[in-house]
Amino acid sequence: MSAPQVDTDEALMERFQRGERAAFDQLFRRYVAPLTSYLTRLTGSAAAAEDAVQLTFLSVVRSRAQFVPGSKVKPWLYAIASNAARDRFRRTRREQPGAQEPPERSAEDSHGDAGLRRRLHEALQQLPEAQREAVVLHRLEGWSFGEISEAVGASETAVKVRAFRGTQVLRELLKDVWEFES
Amino acid sequence: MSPSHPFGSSSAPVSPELELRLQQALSTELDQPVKHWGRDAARFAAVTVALFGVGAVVFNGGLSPLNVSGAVWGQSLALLAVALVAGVAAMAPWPQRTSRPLVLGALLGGTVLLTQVVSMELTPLRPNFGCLAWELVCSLVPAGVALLAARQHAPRLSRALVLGWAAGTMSLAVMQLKCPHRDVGHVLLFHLAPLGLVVAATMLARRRLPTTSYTP
Repeated sequence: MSAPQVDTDEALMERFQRGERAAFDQLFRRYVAPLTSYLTRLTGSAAAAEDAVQLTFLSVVRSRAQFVPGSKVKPWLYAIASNAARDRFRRTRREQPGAQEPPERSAEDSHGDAGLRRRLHEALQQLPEAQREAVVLHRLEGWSFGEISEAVGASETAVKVRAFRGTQVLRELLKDVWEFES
Repeated sequence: MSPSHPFGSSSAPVSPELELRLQQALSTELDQPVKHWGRDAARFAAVTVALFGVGAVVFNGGLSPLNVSGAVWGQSLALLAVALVAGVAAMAPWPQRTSRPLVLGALLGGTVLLTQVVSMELTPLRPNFGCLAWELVCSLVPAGVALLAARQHAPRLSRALVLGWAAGTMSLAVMQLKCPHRDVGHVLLFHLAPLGLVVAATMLARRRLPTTSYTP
């Protein structure tokens, strides 16, 4: 018996553009967890990540006509998510200068790797936005530089440099707890 | 870092409460009509062309058609064209490999056109604050329309810069038909300075305006 055929993201997006809400529901279910995880790493806060996820999907719904058929859905979604996180961060900083969100402890913090995760989150927050984005997507989400370049709208070389510099800083910050592959 | 390290890429499932909250937030939005970027671009183009037309008629009112030479008309229409190309390309959701050459081409074209407009004669400066004021006034509506459209995209200063430039250049195209002075000092102070002001104001306003969608 053959496995049921799974729609590609692009096919779902095309159906959503034609007005099929069920296609959007599938896309939502497919990406809500990965995007929440990505945005938590990017923002360093679960609350900020929830806000940014909501803004991301709202943007997808409002701007579904702006998706260019033939292009890839995943980099588009992550680009929207990065933009939402960046804007939210800037606005928060402008409205409450000097305000830092308090560190949050998740349920997983009480288990084995909690300390490492926490250190990574803290170290990531010390990177400039562009480097953090490149490091998270490449090192943690496992994207290729080509995919990141497509998502962030920068050249592949620029993305490589950002990821390299970001990793150097992380390596320095986390040298006592983790050994990086070169 | 190896893929199996504790910071790995596995994404934990989202809590049902969060999923429900998100779906509720999205359900009202799903009922809204789809907004197509083409409508915004068409609105911008229509406003730009209409203002140019009105400006051309008003500013030519007291002049014989012979006073505005064919070359000046050509320069004005070319400036209008590059303003439209840049504005529409900055609003379009096209990939950067498509929109970037269009925008850069328009900016370059605008610069080349300006070098044709300006006479390098060293004449005494002809102050005329009317030129400055008119140029600012003519930019207001296209800049406003462009800014409203820009809210449909993630805030990016480069996009605001191009939109401000497009609005200011349209205004410059109209003023070409009104102002007979071509000396460098006058053009710089009373035509290019207001263009710079429009660009700066558009960028500042975009930073302040709320965003309705974060698409690239």
